[in-house]
Amino acid sequence: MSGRIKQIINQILDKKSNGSDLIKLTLKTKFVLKGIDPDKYSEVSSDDPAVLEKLKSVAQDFDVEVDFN
Amino acid sequence: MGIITAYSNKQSVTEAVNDIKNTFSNVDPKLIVYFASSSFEGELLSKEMKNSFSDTDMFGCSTAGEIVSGKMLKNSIVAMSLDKEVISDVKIEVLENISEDAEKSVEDAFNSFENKLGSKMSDLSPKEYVGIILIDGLSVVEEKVMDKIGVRTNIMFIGGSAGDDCKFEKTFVYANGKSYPNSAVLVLLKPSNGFDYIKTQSFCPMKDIILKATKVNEASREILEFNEKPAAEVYSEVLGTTVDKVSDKFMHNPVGLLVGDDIFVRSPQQIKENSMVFYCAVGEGMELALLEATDIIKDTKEAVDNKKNELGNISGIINFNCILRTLELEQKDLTGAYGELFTDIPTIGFSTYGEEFIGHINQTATMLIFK
Repeated sequence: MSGRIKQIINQILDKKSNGSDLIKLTLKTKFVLKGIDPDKYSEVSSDDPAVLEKLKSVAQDFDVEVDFN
Repeated sequence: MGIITAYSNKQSVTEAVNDIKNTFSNVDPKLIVYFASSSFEGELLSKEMKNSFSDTDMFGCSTAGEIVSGKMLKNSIVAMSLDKEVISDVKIEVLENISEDAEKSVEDAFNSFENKLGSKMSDLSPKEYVGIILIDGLSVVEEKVMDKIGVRTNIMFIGGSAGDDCKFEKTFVYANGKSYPNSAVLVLLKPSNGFDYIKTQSFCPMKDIILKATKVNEASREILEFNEKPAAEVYSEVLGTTVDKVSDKFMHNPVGLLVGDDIFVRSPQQIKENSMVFYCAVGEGMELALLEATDIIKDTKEAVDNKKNELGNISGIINFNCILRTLELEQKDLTGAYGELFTDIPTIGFSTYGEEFIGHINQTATMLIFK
């Protein structure tokens, strides 16, 4: 399976940025500081379970509900 | 009157505070920000500042050197008065005993902000509000605090880690008449005329060399392995030197997280056997660019000039300038030239033990700009 990581990152970015590109840029930096570089994942990136697990924790931190199933 | 700065080189707290008071005698500050050498007794300084400006909100911290318009100073106090034309609202929270539970401290402070404001921190507009953070520079919890702030709000918190003139014993933050060890102060500002930031670091990536931190101890800010080999050996090898001599390269060749074109610097502190201790944490798996130094004066001038051109006018700057930048400027006899970059702009700042901008960073100047 592939593309799930990018999809979840985008969901979190969309929900937290309220449509602001500036906030989205800052959020991307926050992701990088948490160890996930959003620009390194695309629709064809494989669904690495370790990264997905990390994303679960990031989503929890940001208090964003994301469907991981 | 807008923004006015003051400073004193007097070594008695009373005399120094009197100098500040005299400079501010014709203004009606809504907020006073002050930074003071650790040579001043913090509790006494905080009390005397509050006694002198009893109706004014105030905060500050101890430093490793001070900055005021046109000058870099040592063993001094610098202060900035911001009146109601500049600041329409200010809220101050002190986070005590941060080393015990940094995240909970932030949560409590944010809950208090929310009670006072009547709205959620996550709902505040980052175009209307900005935060300042001053934090114990020896607490080693800056990353946790900034991470918690970052997930709770889209408001930018910018600031620095308090210093103690390179004694590395104890640092203090000050708020409304008191001095606090092992603490941070969070300040939420609503500037009346807008604001902006400068983040400048004088480095560029070196030969596209990327070091992947494959084994770390985040809590102790230690990288044990780069590219699955002992960190100190790999770092020495890419710089063409040996582990016993590599500390000579620290100042000019730190590493950095690259986010687009931006660099978030991580500065090496020491070699510990074959691992490397940094001044801020690196997560496992992070890819870091090896950096090489560029010209601090030229780069900072460019950053300030660009911002002036972009905004048309800058009415004040609070500059959080890394102590490692200050040490380099001192080595090159350039502290005068650095101070002069801010001659025409009401500016205060200090030499920090770390800078805060989205996260915790090193060898950077983060500046809050008031339009």
